Amino acid sequence: MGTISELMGNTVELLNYVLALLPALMSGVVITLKVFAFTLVLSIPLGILVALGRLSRLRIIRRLAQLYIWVVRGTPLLLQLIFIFFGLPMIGIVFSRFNSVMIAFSLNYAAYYGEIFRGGIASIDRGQYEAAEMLGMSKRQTFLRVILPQVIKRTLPAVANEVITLVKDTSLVYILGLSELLRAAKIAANRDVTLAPLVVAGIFYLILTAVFTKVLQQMEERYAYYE
Amino acid sequence: MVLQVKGITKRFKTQIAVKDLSFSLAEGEILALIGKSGAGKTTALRCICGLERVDEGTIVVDGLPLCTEGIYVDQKEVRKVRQKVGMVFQNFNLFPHLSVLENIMESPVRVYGMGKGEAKAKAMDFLQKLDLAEKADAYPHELSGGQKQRVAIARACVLEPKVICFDEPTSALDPQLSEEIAYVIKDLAKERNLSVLIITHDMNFAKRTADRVIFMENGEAVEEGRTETLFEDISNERIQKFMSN
Amino acid sequence: MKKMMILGLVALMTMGVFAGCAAEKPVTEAPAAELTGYEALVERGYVIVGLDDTFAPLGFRTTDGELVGFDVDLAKEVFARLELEVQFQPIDWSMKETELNSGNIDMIWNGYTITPEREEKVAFSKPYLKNRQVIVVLPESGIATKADLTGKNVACQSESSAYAAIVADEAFTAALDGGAPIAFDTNNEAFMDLEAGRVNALVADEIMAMYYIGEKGVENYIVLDEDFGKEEYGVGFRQGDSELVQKVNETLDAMKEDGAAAKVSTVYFGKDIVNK
Repeated sequence: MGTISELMGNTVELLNYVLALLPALMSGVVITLKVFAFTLVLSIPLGILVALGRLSRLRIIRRLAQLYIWVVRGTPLLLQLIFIFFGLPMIGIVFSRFNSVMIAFSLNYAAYYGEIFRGGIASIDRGQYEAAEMLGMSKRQTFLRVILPQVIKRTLPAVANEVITLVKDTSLVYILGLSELLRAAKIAANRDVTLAPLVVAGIFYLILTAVFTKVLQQMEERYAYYE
Repeated sequence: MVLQVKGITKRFKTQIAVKDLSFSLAEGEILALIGKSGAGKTTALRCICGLERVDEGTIVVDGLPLCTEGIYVDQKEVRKVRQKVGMVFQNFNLFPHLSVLENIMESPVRVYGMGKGEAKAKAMDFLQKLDLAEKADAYPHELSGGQKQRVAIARACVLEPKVICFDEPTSALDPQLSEEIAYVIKDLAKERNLSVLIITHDMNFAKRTADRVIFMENGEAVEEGRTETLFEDISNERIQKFMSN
Repeated sequence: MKKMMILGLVALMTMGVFAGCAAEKPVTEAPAAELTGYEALVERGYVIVGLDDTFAPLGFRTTDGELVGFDVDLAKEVFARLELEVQFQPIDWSMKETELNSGNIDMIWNGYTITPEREEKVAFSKPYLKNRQVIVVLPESGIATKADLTGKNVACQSESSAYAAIVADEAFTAALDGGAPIAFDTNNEAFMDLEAGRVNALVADEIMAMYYIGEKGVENYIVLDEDFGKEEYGVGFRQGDSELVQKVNETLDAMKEDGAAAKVSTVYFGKDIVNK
């Protein structure tokens, strides 16, 4: 039976171990956040374009957008990563590891955001366009000043969902050997033959998602001033 | 004449929504297009605003043609013509994410390049007149139906159109409020010398507001006359029948 | 307040991005077309070693993030002698041959077992380390022979030579519960499954199994006398890079001669177990 001092000793030992893990895991967090931030910044504008493509008056553009969404949503992100990094060089297109990740993630998330935004745009009343038209606004002004702000508000909960999923999807970049958070934890787990690093990684993910959840909540509140 | 409509016809696929409609509107005059729903009056209004395109006919606003015998002027000209026409939609179509003041200032500032200070002063001036000054920073969802309508009127009027159109202005209001809006419309016509085109199925409202009435049925103008004479014409069966409904 | 929070977050992320850029090793991506022959490598001045940095004790990272391990140290010494800069590129083990053939890495050097199937795809160096596919069980399981595993569950790492060795024994595999071994992403997971009692045994490279057992306590496991065959580790190259293979072989031989290889072995295994 362990005495109290033994128990305290064990606790201190565990804390010291976790502390020693932090630098490696933090460098994993940096990769995770990098993938996260780039994907978000690239995929949301791209998603708006995809949505506009889906709603285009031109049939060919509608079809292309539809095909794109089907291919991207219909295949695993892991497969897309492998295809872009290993497959494209076969036809002479070579991207670095990180660029491959950026391309695969942005294209993938743009498809999901595209569908969310399409739903949001379609839900805006026809009358809003007509009112803008009668006020002399151009199509661009109408979209940017009247439609988009309303779409952002309406789609924010669905977008928030995808943002949280993205935090966790970043772990897929292991397939290209990038040491994001989960892989960094796995390296430590295999080296030290213990589960502790994975638990710590889990806590890191929870902290990240908590922060983003809070930010998104505040955005929702900011947009709650109407309706 | 501020507005001239000559022989406009609008078809939707096989159906004829407006058939050979002609009328004109003088400065400061209030004209009501009345009739049952489906009579084509809303389509006629949308054609005059440029929201729909006619198949045949001519529309001229303040000397500028929108279309001549079914052939439209180019997009730039269309915008110029449309600038002379204001519209108050049936459900107002205010922008829900903008405050009352922002709703009114959006177009003058963003489209016509008016200075913010000037636009604000002008907007406040209208709001004052419409008894809405204290709602300037409110959002549309915080307003009653009547207040929303007055914001929509201010939003249209701030661009100083020649003609202002109302699509079913009383449909969202209770009877007492329709009296108020009738007063507002008359005031606009008198004070600002604005020509007003009203679409309504509300006979009493038309009677109270309009100088002249066109009665539409199946896309055609079937009766036309000065308000005081047309409604008093007991012998007109059509009017009497409609009135009694 | 809200704005501050968002601003702060954006700043944090941006900093993270730049810190990450600076910290990341500048591993140059190698266009596949340039890689022909040893001379091209010399011209380029560096080679890229692909490894899975989750493979303790052959290739792994210290808590400071430094890449170490028997294979890593060996490779460093070999290319120091060849006067070539060596860069290590972490890869996912399941993609190793794809990484090699697409030219992203020049060799696989990470406890890479020489098997006939792999020899068709890659050019191996001379074997430098002996290995066995050992069977590990828990002491209380009462399992002593392969035959005792009939109807039981056996774990191993996916895409590993352990997996290949098990399924090569068709009669044994057919007798297993479910008719197939249970494949995990890493040996660590296989060990944890064994401890949880969901599998009755695991098969792994002796080198790696002994590392785990050493860390966890020798008394907690039994390694059976029977095994799934003896094997050897080699360095895998693209077929056609024969000059590089030859240079590495010569250098390894020299290192065995002058005791440099034995020194590295002693650091990680406590004794010299390098092939003579």
